[in-house]
Amino acid sequence: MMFYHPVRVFFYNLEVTKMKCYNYNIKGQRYRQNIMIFWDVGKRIIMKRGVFMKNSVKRIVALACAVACCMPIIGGCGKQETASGEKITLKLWTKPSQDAKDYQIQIYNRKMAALREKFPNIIFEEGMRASGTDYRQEYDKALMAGTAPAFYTEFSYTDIPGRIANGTVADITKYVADWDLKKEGKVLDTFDDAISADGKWYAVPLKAYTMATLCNIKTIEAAGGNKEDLPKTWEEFAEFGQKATDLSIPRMGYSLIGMDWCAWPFTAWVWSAGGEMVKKNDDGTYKLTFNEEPGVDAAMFMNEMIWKYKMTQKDILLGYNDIVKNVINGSSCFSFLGISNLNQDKLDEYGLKIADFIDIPMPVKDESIERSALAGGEVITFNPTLTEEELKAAFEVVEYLYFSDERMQVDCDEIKEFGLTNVFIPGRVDWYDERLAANEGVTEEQIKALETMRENAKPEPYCDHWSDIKSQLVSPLQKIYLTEGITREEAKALLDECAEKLYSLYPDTFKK
Amino acid sequence: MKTEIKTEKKKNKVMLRQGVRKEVLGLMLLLPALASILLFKYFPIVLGVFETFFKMNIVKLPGEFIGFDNYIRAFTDKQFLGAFLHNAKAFCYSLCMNFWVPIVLAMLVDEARRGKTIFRLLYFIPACAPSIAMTVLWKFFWQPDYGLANYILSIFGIPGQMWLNSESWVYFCIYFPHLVISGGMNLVIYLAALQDVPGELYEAALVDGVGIFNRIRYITIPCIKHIIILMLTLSIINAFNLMENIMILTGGGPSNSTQTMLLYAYQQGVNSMDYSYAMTMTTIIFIVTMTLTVVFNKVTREKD
Amino acid sequence: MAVIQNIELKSRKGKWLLRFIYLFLVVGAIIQFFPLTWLFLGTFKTNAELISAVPSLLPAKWSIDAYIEAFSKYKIWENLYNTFFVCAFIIIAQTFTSTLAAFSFSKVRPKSGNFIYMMFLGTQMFSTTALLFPTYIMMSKMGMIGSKWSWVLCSSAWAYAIVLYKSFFDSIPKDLIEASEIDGAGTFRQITNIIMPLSKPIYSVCILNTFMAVYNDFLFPLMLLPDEKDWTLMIRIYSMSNTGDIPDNVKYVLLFVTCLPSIIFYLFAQKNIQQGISTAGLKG
Repeated sequence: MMFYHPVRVFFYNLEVTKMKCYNYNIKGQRYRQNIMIFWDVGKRIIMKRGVFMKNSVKRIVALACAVACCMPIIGGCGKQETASGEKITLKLWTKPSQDAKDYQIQIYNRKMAALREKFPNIIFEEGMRASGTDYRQEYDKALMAGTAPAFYTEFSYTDIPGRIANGTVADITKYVADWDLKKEGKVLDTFDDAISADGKWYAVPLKAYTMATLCNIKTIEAAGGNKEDLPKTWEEFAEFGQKATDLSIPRMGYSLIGMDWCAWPFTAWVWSAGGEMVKKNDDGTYKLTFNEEPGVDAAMFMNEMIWKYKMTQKDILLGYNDIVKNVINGSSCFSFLGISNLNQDKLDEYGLKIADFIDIPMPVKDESIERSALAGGEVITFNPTLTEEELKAAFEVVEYLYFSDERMQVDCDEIKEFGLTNVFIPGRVDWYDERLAANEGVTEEQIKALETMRENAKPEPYCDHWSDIKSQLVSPLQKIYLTEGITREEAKALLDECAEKLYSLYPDTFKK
Repeated sequence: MKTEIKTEKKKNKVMLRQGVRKEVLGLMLLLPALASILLFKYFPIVLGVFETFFKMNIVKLPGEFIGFDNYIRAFTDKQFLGAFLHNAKAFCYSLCMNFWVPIVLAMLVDEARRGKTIFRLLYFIPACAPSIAMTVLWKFFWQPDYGLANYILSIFGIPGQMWLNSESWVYFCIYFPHLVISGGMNLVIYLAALQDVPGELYEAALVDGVGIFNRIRYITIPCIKHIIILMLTLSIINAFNLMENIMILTGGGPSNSTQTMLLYAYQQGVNSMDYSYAMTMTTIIFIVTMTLTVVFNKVTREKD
Repeated sequence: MAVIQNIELKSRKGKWLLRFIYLFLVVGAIIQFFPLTWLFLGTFKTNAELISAVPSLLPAKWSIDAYIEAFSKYKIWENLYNTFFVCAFIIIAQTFTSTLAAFSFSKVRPKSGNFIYMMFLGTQMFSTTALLFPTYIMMSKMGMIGSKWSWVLCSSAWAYAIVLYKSFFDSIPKDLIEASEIDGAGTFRQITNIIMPLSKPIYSVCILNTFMAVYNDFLFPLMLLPDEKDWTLMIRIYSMSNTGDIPDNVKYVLLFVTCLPSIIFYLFAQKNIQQGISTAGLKG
């Protein structure tokens, strides 16, 4: 056996490592032996003495194999076997995140208990979406790995036409065609065009909301504005914004989204200039119209807001999350959001209440244009890799959870019980009024404002490759926003270039 | 005689067996490393190149066969060629701003009579911090609204700049922090190389009446030439593989002006789910980088 | 040796030159140290101070609220644990495979060793991003996404380490090994009792390099570990630079906590780096 206690000694310019080792002589007795190794900073090695014991090469191979085998076993395969037999297993992604509040966990537990009671022959696997940086990517990754849930509730209806094309949503025509609630007209139908194609259905609506201009009353009044007299036209908007902006407080007139999602509010501004982003042609293709005069008007107005009126934050390239932060901490008067995006918990940190905000439709270029709002919404899609049985079971679960009278009543009760704010239009439109009434933190004024917005709400365009339009627009829009003193012709040229690129990339969808 | 031949044959046999045994032992020792490299480095590359000839479908791999379409698309994609120019621009900036500073500083530290170790330590410690953390910190510095850079400018009366938001300053903003982030590491390497320059050459040069600058030009630089060439090669490779810093600082830059090739490939893969096109681009980038490195090595070797 | 000779320094011009050099170096050192100092002091400031239009170097009031919040509410402990867990296992795996491979290349020298060595060198050319997507697809088909072992397996061999070890082992004379073989030492004993004690400097260089490479890596874990609870420090920093949820002083705490192990590790292994750089053939 060998034990060593290395002792380093600096001997002139050499390092000496002394090792003591124990060894066995022929008689089998243990004796100690000293070994000294001289080495000159690794360059030359002179060894004095040493005796070692025999060993075999098998040991090292065995060790290597053992380690090599251990790793995957310890890691384990993540893929789980689906339970076979009479019970169906459905995977859900409805679990609240780790830092969820108590009431959220309570609501979730009650929901799961009700589900288990109603569907005794289904095993529910609880899980949640990985919190990565983009929910669409995380879902696609899970789909590829085979760990996607039975149904998913976070897709916007604008994503669906693209997903119908690439096959990542299941065909549920069979169940929707026979759906009683739909036949009675109790299901939200604003997105029907988007979630169906060629008579086939691919999703069911979950909720709808409107967004235009969110006003922070407290900040506006601190800047000298008046709650009753909020800006209606671009002129009034710019005038007030310029007056209100004082970056040392900090307070700014309008919070601009300049990063990845900047084409989303741009859509609403194009509408408020009297134009459209896309127009449907007779043959089913779309013509891109964001580079026409209204689109250029909108882009130039954004540029003027930044450079001429100086009423935005200085760091233009902020993303959606940073804008929400600016809105919540009260440093911006106006922004492209809605009350439905606000969360009382987060507002508490800054001492604000939901009642301090109000929604108004977009300010328009001149009074002849209708004041509009963007209607958004989310839908429920189903996993395309489910079997027939599983799909049927999943549809039944969704129908119960989001469309049954029972659960709608529970939702309203929970809103009252925990003092939540939930002003979305649910999939069951006939329950909207009751749900709105259950919200105690929302004032009459806000409800009236929501009604006004709903009247003129337009849905986001949902043509095929709409998300590609948005991502291609990021570059020219950023250039327009960031170039001080850009001329109208230059801005139009940039938008034209973008349109040309889209025409050539997707010739089947976009035609002039 | 017979016994001699027999023992001779036996010796050969033993030696052959020992040789074979040695071979087997050698290969068995290599086994873990070889298996790992084959399975986790070569196989994914081969898989990636294989996948570039298909249009990938997430649900049904590998998707439909499209031949060289991806490559044609990559070479005619204006955005990809623009990204290549951005990489070249980044390399020029790094040469002008970052390459020569550690060399000069190392020579200065070498001059210091007392406290050489302290200076080396002082320059080395900030370079030990992970570059991503420092990049995020510099992102805070370059914030136009409340960042430190604009505040320092305002002390001198210069109006605040847009830094990362302006296309003209953005490359400066990316490479200026590198002086602080990785300058120290390079400085230590140059310093170690400078130790090997024989001192007698300087003494002889002084006797001959050679001035300071000429001494540096004719003695120091040629002696550390191999290190400089090595660093330059590394700098080329880094400039064409630039991605993480850009991702954090600008995410592609104001209107795609800092989008490098790898970042474009990554965004195509992750945002648009177009993995096969992304892999096409990474393959092309790899070939380009390798070509540049080989050409550079050939050129510098010829000079020697 | 210095360019300016001692004789020159005796003159007035030389003295002023030296003083100027010292001044320049001191200013440079201050600039180098400034971001770290700002980071350190920023962890003690309140959030409002950090986003005020007139920043100040020292905090108005020293408070460790940021630290408490970071560790309790934002769970930086988990990220630290994940990072060190992965680092430890990758270091073990890489040391194991590299030692065996380098020993085989330099001492045992099988006939096909040269070819295999070239193969190892070839992998140094591949960039991380090129490997990223195919590895992701491979791992997702094996069902190992979300498990830290996928990352450990992918990084279990590193050509750079093998090259360093091999060139160092080459400098250990063959007589040593042969002497021990005569005395009856098997391969395992040869490695653990001769090679390893003698290679301490190169081990510390390689372990340090591996630790740094794994610590700073953030593309691989970003793809392979989608769930928040598995995130390492680097991914946390990346995600935090994108969202506005976390107050600024907590961000500073996270950055500072990330810098600390790196700096400590480097200082600790400083002496061995110096040896390692000169012996490991960076010059060759």
